Amino acid sequence: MKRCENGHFYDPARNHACPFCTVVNVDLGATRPAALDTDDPIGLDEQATVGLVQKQKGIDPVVGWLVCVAGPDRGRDHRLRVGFNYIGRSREMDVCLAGDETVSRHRHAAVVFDDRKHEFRVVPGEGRDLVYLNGEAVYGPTVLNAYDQLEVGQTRLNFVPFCGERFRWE
Amino acid sequence: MTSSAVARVSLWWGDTLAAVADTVGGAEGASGELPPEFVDRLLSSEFFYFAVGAIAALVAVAAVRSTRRAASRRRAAEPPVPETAVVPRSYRVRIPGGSLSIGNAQAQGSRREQQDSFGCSDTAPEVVGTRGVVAVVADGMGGLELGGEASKVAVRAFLRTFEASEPREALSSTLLRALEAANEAVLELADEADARGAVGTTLVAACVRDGALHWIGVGDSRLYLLRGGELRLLTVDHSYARTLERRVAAGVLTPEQAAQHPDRNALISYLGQDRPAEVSTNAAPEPLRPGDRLLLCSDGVHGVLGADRIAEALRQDAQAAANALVAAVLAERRPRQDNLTAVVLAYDTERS
Repeated sequence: MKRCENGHFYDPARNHACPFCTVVNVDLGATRPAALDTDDPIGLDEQATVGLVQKQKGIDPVVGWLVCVAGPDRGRDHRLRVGFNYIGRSREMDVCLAGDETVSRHRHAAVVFDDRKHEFRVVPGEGRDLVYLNGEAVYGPTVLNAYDQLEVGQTRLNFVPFCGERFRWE
Repeated sequence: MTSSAVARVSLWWGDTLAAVADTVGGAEGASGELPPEFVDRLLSSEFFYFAVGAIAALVAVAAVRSTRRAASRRRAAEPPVPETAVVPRSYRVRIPGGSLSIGNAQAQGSRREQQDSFGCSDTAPEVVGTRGVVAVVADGMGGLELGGEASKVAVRAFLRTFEASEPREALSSTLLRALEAANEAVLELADEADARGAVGTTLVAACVRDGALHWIGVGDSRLYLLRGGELRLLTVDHSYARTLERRVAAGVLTPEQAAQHPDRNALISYLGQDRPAEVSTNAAPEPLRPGDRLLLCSDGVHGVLGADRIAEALRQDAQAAANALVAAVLAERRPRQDNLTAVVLAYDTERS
């Protein structure tokens, strides 16, 4: 468990930022725990579970960030790691936009880092909702450049690479 | 604060000194000489217990391993089952003479906004060593998101004041100052929104320093102590229900009238009043014993769970206990479930 700057304790293997500090002004119904530290069966699938276990076991170095510049989580950063980084509202997502109701729960889109080519791409999600790159809808894997802007629901995320020409994890 | 409150504070401080003197005096005279054959027997019996313990531990480890292996085999075949049983170990703070494990959990219930806030003071050794550790829970009230903001600023102001306090200051006065700072913060927030009187928050704080518990509370958020099997409520609810109970005792109201009174749950004292009408605090520091569990919670927890269920949930690791309490409340599926917050502190001495 880790202590956040506001004195809350959370499991960094499950949440990369403090879940108690997120402002969630959404009516969640009577039974859904808003920030309870137990797994939520909805939105869990084999892939996500495996990803979680891998993260707990080894060092999974950061390769870049998405920074929220507009939307309910404005100001918050999301770490990107090697491979698929799924974006969605569910807490099981790698990039969790819990505060934006207009984002799909499950895999609205993904940002992929290919550690052989050292290249970032945005990939559209599996559902009906679109993801926009610099204002254009994304229909297939599209290369991302520094400070490109992604739009999912009402959230706008700026892309900041860490790995690329100037730095590589060897 | 009024001058009478200050007078009461200095009285508590006097009690603190007396209690500390008692503890120091009582600790002496425990050692003595034992006959050598008794020592021998004791020694051999200890080895015996050690051997039995070691075998039991090996058997337990083997059993856990085989069930885990079986579980992982099952997981490969079946669709994944959410690991609700896997709770990370509690956050642990070393304190002089022992340790404090801290767990926290929170849920929104069916309310549109989370108006509860909580927090724990800085766990850096230099803060813990000089000032101790304090945990705070606050339950905000007021519309237009002001309630949530009120509890948040109150917790923040309380913690900052505590962390920046003069280490030699009497703890009871530190807690009182921190509470005043929290009240100021809420009033400031109210004035910004031109809503003085319409926004407020409860606050309960428990501080562990030098192996003893100190606390302070306003409103109806509670502090419980579980010691042995017994759950004790340490705080007093500053709700109108208490006034009603007094009227029942005086024969002015019937118990039914009191139970159905529409203002039963209205608070008579809270932060956000010019001066909180009532503040309750410990008369003397409560020396903690190994195994003691403390629970700070908002009424979303104690309004739903009875004492026996709270006590049952507290008999485990701090984080697991906090999770269990929130899960137990949500399992009740109350249609108008209030926000709920549980912060659990588990005290243990060096040995364990």
